Amino acid sequence: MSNGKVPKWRKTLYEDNGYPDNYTPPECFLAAIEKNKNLLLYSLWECFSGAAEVGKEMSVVIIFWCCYKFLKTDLLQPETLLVTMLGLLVVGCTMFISRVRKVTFTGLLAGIKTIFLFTIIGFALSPVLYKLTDTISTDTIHSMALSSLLIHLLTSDYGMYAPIVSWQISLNAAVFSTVCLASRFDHHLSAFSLLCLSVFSFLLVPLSRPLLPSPLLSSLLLASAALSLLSCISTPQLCLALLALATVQIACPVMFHRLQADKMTIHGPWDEAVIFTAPQ
Amino acid sequence: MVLTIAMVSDFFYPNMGGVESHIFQVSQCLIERGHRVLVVTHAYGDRVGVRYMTNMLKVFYLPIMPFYNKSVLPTIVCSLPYLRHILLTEKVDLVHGHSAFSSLAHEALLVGTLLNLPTVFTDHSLFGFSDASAIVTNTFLKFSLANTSHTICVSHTGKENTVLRSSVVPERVSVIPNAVDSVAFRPPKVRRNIRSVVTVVLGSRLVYRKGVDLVVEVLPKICRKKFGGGRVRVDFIIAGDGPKRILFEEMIEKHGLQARVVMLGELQHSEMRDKLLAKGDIFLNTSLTEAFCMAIVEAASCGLSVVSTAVGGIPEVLPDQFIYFVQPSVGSIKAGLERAVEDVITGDRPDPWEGNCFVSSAFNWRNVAARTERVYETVCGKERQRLATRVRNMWEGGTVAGPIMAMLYLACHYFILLLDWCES
Repeated sequence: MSNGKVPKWRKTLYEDNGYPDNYTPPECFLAAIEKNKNLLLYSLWECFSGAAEVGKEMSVVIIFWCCYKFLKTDLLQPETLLVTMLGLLVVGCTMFISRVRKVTFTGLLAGIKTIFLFTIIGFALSPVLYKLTDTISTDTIHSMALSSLLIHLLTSDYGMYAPIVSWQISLNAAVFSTVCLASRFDHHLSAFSLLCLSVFSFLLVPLSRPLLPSPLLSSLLLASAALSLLSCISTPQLCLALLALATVQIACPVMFHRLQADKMTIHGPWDEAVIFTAPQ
Repeated sequence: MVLTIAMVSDFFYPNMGGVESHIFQVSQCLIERGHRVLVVTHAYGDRVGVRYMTNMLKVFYLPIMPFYNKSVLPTIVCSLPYLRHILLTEKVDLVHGHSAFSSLAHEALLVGTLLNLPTVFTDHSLFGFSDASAIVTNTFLKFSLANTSHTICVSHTGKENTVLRSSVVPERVSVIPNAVDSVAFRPPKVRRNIRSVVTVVLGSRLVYRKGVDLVVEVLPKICRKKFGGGRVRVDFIIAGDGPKRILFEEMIEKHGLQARVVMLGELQHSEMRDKLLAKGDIFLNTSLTEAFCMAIVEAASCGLSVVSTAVGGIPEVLPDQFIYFVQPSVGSIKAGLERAVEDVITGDRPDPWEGNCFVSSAFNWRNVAARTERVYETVCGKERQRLATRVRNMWEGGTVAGPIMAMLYLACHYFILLLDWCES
């Protein structure tokens, strides 16, 4: 600094420019910071559609629960349930084959064989199935079933990736709840029909997602079906279900959409670099 | 002014690494300048109690076992009596904590502020903001640094990162880079003659963060090419171990490069110069994020040309004549390596001893210790904050977490009063 001029501050570590260690010029400090880069914002319609997926799954769980109650109180005969499911299965299959994926004859035959095998084995094992958790008290059974249905709802695939999503855990939780609930029946045919219902509603119904044009409409239909069935059972449960569905399908998307305005992400030179995978 | 300084961190000898060597070297240089330094760390296996290292550096290995990632479980009540006892009996004037990942350091800073001692914290690494673990860690860092007198970061990018994470005032953060022992890392006596082989060396942990996926892609492309008019080929030596080592082995098998690529495995820090850096002409570093990167400075000190990704604090470390900057992509790294190899063949690069001289003047431990001493003097000269001010600093750290941490701070204060009463 012999010529009297103050040297310019440079962002380097190897030269001593005469400035104290804790000095950074205000214009250089955080100069390279970028806020809200590559921000993904969702429209209100997308928020409602996404929430409708969750609402659909919740409605299916409620319908399952209602069917269990009806089977228990003999309002619904197991044979009726099985025939209805078979009809819906045939309709769904034809729609699936015609709209979504072309299946060869051998593929179709393999599918029919799987269904046949499952039905035979399920029916043969249902006397064992409904005795499995026979000795446990009803309250415990109900709480176990409900908690595993909750786990099913938490780990279901709603169309978005998250670490908690695992179709294996969700399907197993649903089947576990069926095994718990099946023990409350007196006849093994009811147990078998409940098992078929659970496989139908938790494995096959989610496959119908690409068939339906609008998730909102289907979620509305399913929700109204679920609530009308629930109204035949008990009113407090109906109110709770209505509250839960309203929160999930209406309140949550609106809140999410509003809170997006508060998003603030910070990017800068300290970020871990993303490897470019462009071809050479 | 002669001070008694307590360096506290989870990372110390017998563990080897950047933070560990930083603590040891700075302590030695401070002892040389006349201060008294002690180091507090957790137990390593059987190594518990008080040990003495070179120049009467007293090391306390506290009887606490590491819990996760070589750090102790942050239960404040477990370490508080130990730390308080050490700080009071040794008549410590200043507490210096190292590394944001070390929970013992944060606890020591807390105890230091409770005993009304000046505290300094050195942050050695960069951290993100977006995922849940980052948010929790940054919140804890904010409370930890709320009452710390001064912070030291190892690069300007590190300073920006720390200020954003913990909302400290930028004037209370100093930038003091790390250093390298340029005597230990010196070029080989006999300069390597480039006849037909140029050797590129790589020395890092083989994990995703160090960008080894990119190296695996680039390596076969470079090995296939001939340089210097078709008479020179490029060989590789790779030191280090990690989960991605299998990628290298597969790549060598697939392209038949057993004669061209040597995998040395894990090397001790003391062996790095003789077994790796002395045998190379170019050092390749492809880290995806790095606060300072001592490896490239060690390589420059040994006279190698450096090819490195320009991430984090790396652009601030070496001037352009010693380093070739590339982007973290296969094409860019390949182009950078080709340029470096051609320059090595034509001799168009600085003399190895020039690199060593540069590093010894720009990055030496005595300079680091002198600058750290200046920070200590500033900090000791400041007036101590009253308990009410310190609790207020904690309270204002957050809407929910602030009051909780403030109450925890007060509870620790009363715990210390209780311990004082018990001892009297």
